[in-house]
Amino acid sequence: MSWRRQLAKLGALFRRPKPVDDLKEEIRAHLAMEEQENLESGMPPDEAHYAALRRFGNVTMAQERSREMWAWDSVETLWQDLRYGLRMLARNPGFTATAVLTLALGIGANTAIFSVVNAVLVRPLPYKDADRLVMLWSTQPREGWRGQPSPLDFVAWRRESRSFESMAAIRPCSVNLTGRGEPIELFGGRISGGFFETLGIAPQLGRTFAAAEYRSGAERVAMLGNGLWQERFGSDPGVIGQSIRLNEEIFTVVGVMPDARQFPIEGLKIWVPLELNESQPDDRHFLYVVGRLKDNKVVAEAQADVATIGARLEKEFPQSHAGHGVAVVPLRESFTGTLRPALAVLSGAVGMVLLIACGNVASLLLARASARRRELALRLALGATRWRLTRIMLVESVLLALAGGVLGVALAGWGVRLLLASVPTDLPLPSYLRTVAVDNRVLGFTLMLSLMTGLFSGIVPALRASNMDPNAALKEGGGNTTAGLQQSRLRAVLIVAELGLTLILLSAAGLLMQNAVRLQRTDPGLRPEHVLVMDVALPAAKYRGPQQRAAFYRETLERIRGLPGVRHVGVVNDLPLRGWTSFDFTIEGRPAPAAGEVPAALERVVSPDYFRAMGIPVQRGRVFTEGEGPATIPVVMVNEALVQRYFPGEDPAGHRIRPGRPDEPGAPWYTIVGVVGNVRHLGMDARPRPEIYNLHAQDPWPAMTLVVRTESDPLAIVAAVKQRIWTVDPDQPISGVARMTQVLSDSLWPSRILTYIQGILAAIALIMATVGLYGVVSQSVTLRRHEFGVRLAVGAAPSHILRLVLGQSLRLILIGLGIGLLGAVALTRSLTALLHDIGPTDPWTLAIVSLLLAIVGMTACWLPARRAAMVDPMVALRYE
Amino acid sequence: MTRQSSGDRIELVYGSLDMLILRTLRWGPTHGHAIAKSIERMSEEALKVEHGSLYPALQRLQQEGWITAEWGVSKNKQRAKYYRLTAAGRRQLVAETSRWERFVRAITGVLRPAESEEGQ
Repeated sequence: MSWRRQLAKLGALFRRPKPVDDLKEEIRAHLAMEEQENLESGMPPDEAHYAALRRFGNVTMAQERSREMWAWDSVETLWQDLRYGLRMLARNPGFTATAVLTLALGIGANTAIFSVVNAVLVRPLPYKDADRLVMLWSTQPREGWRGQPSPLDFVAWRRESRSFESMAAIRPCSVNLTGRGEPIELFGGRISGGFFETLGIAPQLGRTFAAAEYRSGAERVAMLGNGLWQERFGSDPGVIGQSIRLNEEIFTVVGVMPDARQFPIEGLKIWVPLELNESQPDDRHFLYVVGRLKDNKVVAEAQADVATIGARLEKEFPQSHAGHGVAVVPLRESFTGTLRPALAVLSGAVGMVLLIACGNVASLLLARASARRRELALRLALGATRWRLTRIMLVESVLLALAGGVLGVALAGWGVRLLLASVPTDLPLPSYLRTVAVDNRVLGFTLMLSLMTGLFSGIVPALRASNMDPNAALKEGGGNTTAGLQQSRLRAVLIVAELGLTLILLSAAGLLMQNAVRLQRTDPGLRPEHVLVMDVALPAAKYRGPQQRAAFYRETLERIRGLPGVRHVGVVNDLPLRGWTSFDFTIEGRPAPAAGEVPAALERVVSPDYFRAMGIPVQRGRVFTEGEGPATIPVVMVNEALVQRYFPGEDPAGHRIRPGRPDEPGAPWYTIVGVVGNVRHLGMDARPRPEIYNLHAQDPWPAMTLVVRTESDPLAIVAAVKQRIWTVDPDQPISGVARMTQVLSDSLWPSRILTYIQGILAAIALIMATVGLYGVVSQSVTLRRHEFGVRLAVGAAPSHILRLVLGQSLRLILIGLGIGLLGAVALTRSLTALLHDIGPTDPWTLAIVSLLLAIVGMTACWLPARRAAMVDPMVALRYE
Repeated sequence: MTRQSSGDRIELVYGSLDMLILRTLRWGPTHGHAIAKSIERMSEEALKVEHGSLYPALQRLQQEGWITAEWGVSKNKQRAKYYRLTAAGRRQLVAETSRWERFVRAITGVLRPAESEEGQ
């Protein structure tokens, strides 16, 4: 079509009267002239009239065609089709509701998962030019470890690398704020110079730290988070320059930072300068390092750059750096490393659910198109074009999908709220990952998805309907036809595909469920029931000396022990599953180990009764006693993993160890007195590592967690315990009050939520496929009523018909299972990263879900099969 | 353009109807019925146009700007729409005609190669 015609059509949309409006009159004139001519040539009036009509041909078609000439991409008729579609859908509320609900589940699931994907992987991180930001990690490739770098690393990287515009570090810390209302423990960070500048965050009030303020001995300064500023300082802009008391020392407030966009985790409330001893930096790994790449550098170049520096450090400091490497990781990947495989699995799963929904709706549309064959054939005969018929059908399926999309967005909003509500509050996620929401991008995604879903589920029925032969369709009677059978073959193909997809989803759900159950059943190495925990961190400045700290906890434990309902009480520096520290140690009398093979263990500092309070069994030797302290010989206890690794086949009791590497003398020797069971400190899915327990009285840490074993509900005695603590020190902050069972359950949240979601998706798939299967078998039974009637009339037993129908259904199910199993074996590999102790093609799981699908499927076929067997031959034969 | 061919009528080659309409209008403005009759007369009744198919073609030609239409009154006092060839339509007719003649020559050449060789 030429541009001139397009223009004319565009004009016709707005012009009135439209050129097509007087077409009727023109045709009438034409017919009158022809009739007149016929009369003049001597035809009788009747014949003259009909001859004119015959000569003209199909009047409606001529009008339609002429009108189409003027309609711009048939906008007008599209409107007609829309209204017609709406009327048809309103007239079949049962069909419409089923289809819309099916599509809503499919689209809703996709919308919900996409809104998570959007928040985690798509939406830009809230930093300036966030794609230039990377995190730098220390690695130990041999151990498969990636973790925090040390100041030694950071100082070298920052000084020598050529790829970064800037690089900065933060060391998370906790400080006690006193003198402003109730004493409170705040999480904050010690930051290096240029920290906020690297992230591109400006203070909302005041300034960041000046270079001089990072030197030791400088005046102490701090920056507040917005939340803290509002809560404790009444949003007073005059706070700048004021003094506050942190850990019993005086700091001057210089700035207030916005709460959003924190690094590396959300919830930091206060920042102070990080002192780095540049000439002799610490080699312990406790920093988070972020770098901003230069504009002309890519991650790989930066990686090569710092790797060179890492190699130099390895040569220069073999004891601390042997076997260490460096990883430069884009910021987003650093945050989403663990979420990525889970999201990939869920995205695939919701895609499959949508495919199943499309299959079901296509199947419904096919069934309905065959019921509407006569209507459609009549339209064709009356001059509708095939394209117009295709479009009428597509408009209906797209309307269905859009309605499904609207309902789906509502479902997704609800699902996302449920998901967010299930996130444990203390899970270390940046808050912008928590702000999963159905935003404009998600809505755009859903709109596109709905349109595509509509076209996808409607295209096959639409093309089949428009390709029919109107003569045959008008001549044939009702149901039992070749076309009907063809169309049920197509539906059979669809249902087999749906069953296959369902099996894949069920397998994934089954594997994840088994995995979750195994994790749940994993012995954590302690007994969490009836255990109350709470963090009691001493202000460093108030309790300067080790004796003071030891005395505080001794006194506190003593008082709590006397409470009614308390069985045992102890303290530990890091709760299992919450945190850990690791250190190198030397075993007395052993040859010096090779570089990189220095013994290392997790360290935990406890009071003697901790093991009984937490329910950790003592395997050998003895427990610490209350009498032991700074005056008696230094003692430690170790776990079984340490014995297996460093004292295989030996009784470790009596051996002595010393913290630090062999070339670092100075620390005293500690005698091993007992062995306790392994505790899953690093996670229920992580193998226990060698571990050393120190006695708090000999190594009085300032920040301990109280562990109380109670007789009944642990939360019932929280107030009493707090009261006892405040009788020792009324200013003591208390935080992190929880049941130990909750701590354990929170640690399993990721695997649990993934299992739930996958389980729900698989259940939706199973229901849809079952409903679809029921529909297909029902319809095929209806089509074959006559045949069954004949069979029964000539003497077939009803049970024979039952077996016949069930046999054919079983064949569909088995083909679906076969395809599904192949798919499952191919696809469940992607679960490997999420599974522990169970293979992605676990035969038992596959067998069980196959059986489940077969049983549910056969149950769905039972009703129509029974109906087939109950056919009354007389009725069935009279049916046609 | 016509759907059926029956008996001795020749089915119109697609696109040739446009040319025939333009050609008819060369002798002056006229209405749809007269155009139909004229095409039949020109071809000595060999080409039978299903009258209905004329109207979509007339719309199309209007959109191309080759013809214009206005209401008038016919000889026997019947209100009818009169179509008139535009300057663009005249140019198009020349182009169409020469293309048509090339087409006919080509078909003739294929169907009777011997004769055309002799002609040279």
